[in-house]
Amino acid sequence: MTETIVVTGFGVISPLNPDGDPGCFWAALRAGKNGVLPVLSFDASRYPCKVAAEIPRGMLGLAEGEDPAMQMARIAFERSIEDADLKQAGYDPKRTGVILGTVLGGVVSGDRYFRVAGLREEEKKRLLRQYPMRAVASSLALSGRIGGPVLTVATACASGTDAVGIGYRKIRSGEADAVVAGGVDAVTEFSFSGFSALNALTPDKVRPFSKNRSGLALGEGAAFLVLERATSATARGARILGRVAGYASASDATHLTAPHRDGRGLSSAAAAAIRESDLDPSEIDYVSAHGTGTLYNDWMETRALKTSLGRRAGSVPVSSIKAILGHAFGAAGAMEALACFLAIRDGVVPPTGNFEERDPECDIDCVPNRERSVTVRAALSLSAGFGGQNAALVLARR
Amino acid sequence: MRNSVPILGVGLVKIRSGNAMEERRFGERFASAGETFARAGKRIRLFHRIEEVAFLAAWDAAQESGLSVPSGDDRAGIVLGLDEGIDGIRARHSIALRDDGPKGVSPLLFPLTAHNAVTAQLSIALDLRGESFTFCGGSVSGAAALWAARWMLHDGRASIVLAGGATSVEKEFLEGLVVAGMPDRGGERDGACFLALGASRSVAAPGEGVRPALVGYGEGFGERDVRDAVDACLEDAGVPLHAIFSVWEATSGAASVVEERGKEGRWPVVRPSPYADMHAASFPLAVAAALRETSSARPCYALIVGRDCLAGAAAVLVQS
Repeated sequence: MTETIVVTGFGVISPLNPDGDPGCFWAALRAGKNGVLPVLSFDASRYPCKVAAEIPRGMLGLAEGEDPAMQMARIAFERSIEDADLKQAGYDPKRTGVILGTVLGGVVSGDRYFRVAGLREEEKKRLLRQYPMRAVASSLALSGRIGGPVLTVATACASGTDAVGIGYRKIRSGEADAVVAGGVDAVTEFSFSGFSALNALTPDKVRPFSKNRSGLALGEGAAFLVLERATSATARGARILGRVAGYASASDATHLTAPHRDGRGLSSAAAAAIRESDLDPSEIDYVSAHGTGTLYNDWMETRALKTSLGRRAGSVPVSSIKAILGHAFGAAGAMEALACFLAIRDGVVPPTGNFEERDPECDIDCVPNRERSVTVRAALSLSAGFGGQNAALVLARR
Repeated sequence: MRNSVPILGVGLVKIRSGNAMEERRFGERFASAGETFARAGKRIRLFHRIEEVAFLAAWDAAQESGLSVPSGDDRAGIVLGLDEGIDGIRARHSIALRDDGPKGVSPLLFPLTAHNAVTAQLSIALDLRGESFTFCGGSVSGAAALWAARWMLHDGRASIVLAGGATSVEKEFLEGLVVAGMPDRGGERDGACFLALGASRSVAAPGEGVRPALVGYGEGFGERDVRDAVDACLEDAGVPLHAIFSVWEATSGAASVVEERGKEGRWPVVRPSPYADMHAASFPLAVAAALRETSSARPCYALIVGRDCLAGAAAVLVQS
C-alpha cells in the first residue's frame, strides 16, 4: 500500500496576480481575463509579435540588479510555505526538499552579462551569481532553511510538471517528508527572439484549439505546491487541497522542436499517470491541456487525448489557461496543476480564452470562453516541450 | 542490498584542449560509432561538442550493456546531469542578438540553449522512448542523474536507463569564473560519462560472479551537506562504515569532511578523482574510475562523494 501524497499549500505569482494574491489568480482564470498585452520589459518593435504576458517589473519589488526569476520564485515559494504553515509542521530540515523546474533559470542575468558592454565588475559578479540554473533553487533552500533534496529539473516546457511529479516520488519513496515543488521562468528578449526566429509567436492573441490559431505568447511567473504525506498532514491538522494520484513522463524521441504528430509520448505519459492513479479514464472530469495555441501542438494533443482517454476524450472538459496567461515555460506546469486543484476545490473549470472557430481536427470540448460548473473528482494535467519531453499528473480529491 | 541496481555498461569520454592524442582518439571513436549507426539506418545530426561527447559515452555504455540502439523501447530511459556545458551556446545567442538584432538569431541554435536539448538529441538518436530527465546541479548534476535512474528502475518504469553527466568547459565559462573570482586554470575541455543501469532482478545470476552495482545514494544541503550525504548514502545502502573499501572525492571540497567521517570506520585515504575538474560530468566519471580500480573477485564497496558550491553534496556507493 503506497502512501497518499497531498498538497497542503501553494503560492503563485503571474501576470494575472502580480501581487501574488492567489484569489486574484483564480478569479482571473475563471473570468478569462486576458493577461497577454504589449511587451513591457524590452523594446519589441523589431519583432512581428509585440505581445507577451508579463508582470510589470515595478510590481516585483526587485532589489537593484536582482534577477526577476529569482524574485518571482521567492514570492511564490514563501507564500506556499506560509499557506501550508510548513514552518510549524516540525519536519526535519534534512528531510524537506525543494524541487524547481525551469527552462531558463537566471538567463535574464546571463543575457545582460553577455550583451551589455562596460558593466562594472560588481555588477558582472552579481549577474554571474544569479545566472546558473541551480542558483534559484539553492537560494530558496537557503532562505527556507531547507536541508534535504535540492534539485533543478530542466525538461523544457514540462519542467514544472516534472518538478511536482519528482517531488511526489521523493516523498513516496521515503527520501523526503515534505517537498516544495514548482517552477519559474521570466520573459526575456533572449527567449522571445528565439521563439520569434522559429515563427512560433502569435502576432496578436493565443487561441488554443481554434481553427485560426496562430501561435503562442510568452508568459512568466512562478508557482509552488507543498507536498507531504496525507497521514502527516492530517495529524498536524493541515488543510488539504487534494492529492497527487499519479505521475509519469515519456519521450517522443522524434524531433528537437516539433512534437510527434500523433502525440505518442504525451499519450504514453497520460496513460501511465492514469494507471498509477488507479482511476479509470471515466473518472477524469477535467483536463488541463498543454494547449499552446500552435498548429501542431493542438493537433498532437487532441490525438494524444483520444489515445489515452478513449471515448472519454470526446466528452471531458479540456481547457488551456495559456490562452490568457501565455506560456510561462518552467512555471506553466505548476500553475496548471494548481488550476486543477482549484477546479477540484470549487467545482468550476476555467475556460479556454479567445476561442473563435472550431477546428475539426481538434474535436474536443475545450470549454470555450466561459467557465463551467463541473464536479471534478480527478483532473489530468498535461505538459509537452522541446526535445520531445512529455509529462502528465493526475490530481484528485483527497 | 535494498536498492541495488546493476551497472551493465560504462562509457566515458574526456578531451582536454591541446591534447592531440585525446582529440584524435575521440575522432576515431566517434567516426566508428557513426559508421555502425549508419548501418542501422540512422544518421547522427549533432551540432555541438557537448552533444558529441555525450553521444559517444552513451553509445559506448549502451554497447557494453547489450542494449540494442536505436532502441524504440518505451522502457528505455535516459537521465543526464548537465549545467555549465551550454554557456557558450547561450553566449553566442546573446551576442548575435546584440550585434545583429532579431535577424541575427539562429532558429537552429536557439533550441540548443535549453539544457534538455543534449538529452533530447540522445533520446532521438538512440530512439529511447522512456522517461527522460535533465538535472542541473553543477558538479553534482551527474549524481542526481544516477539517483533518478535508480528510482525509475525500482518503480518498474524502465528496464534500462542510461544515466550520466556531460560538460563542455568553453572560454565563456572560464572567463565567467575569472570575473566571479573563482578562476579555473584547467583550460577548455569536454567530458561525458554514462552508466547503463538495469533492473534489479538482473543482479548476480548464479555462477556469474559479482556484477558491479549502484547500491546507495544520499544527498545533503547546507552547513553539514557532505556529512549528511555520506550518512544518507550508507543508510540507504544498509552498509556499515567499516565495509567501505575505497573512498573517492568526485569534486574538490569534500575530502576533509569525508576523512573526518571515515575515522569512525577506519576508511582508507580519500582518493581524488582524476576527473574532479569535469564539472557536471565529474561524478559519473569518478564512479567509472572507482569501478575500474576496485574490480575484484569478491564484492567490495567504493564510496564516491562530491560537492557543489550551490547545489550541495551527494554520495554514491557502488559495489564492484
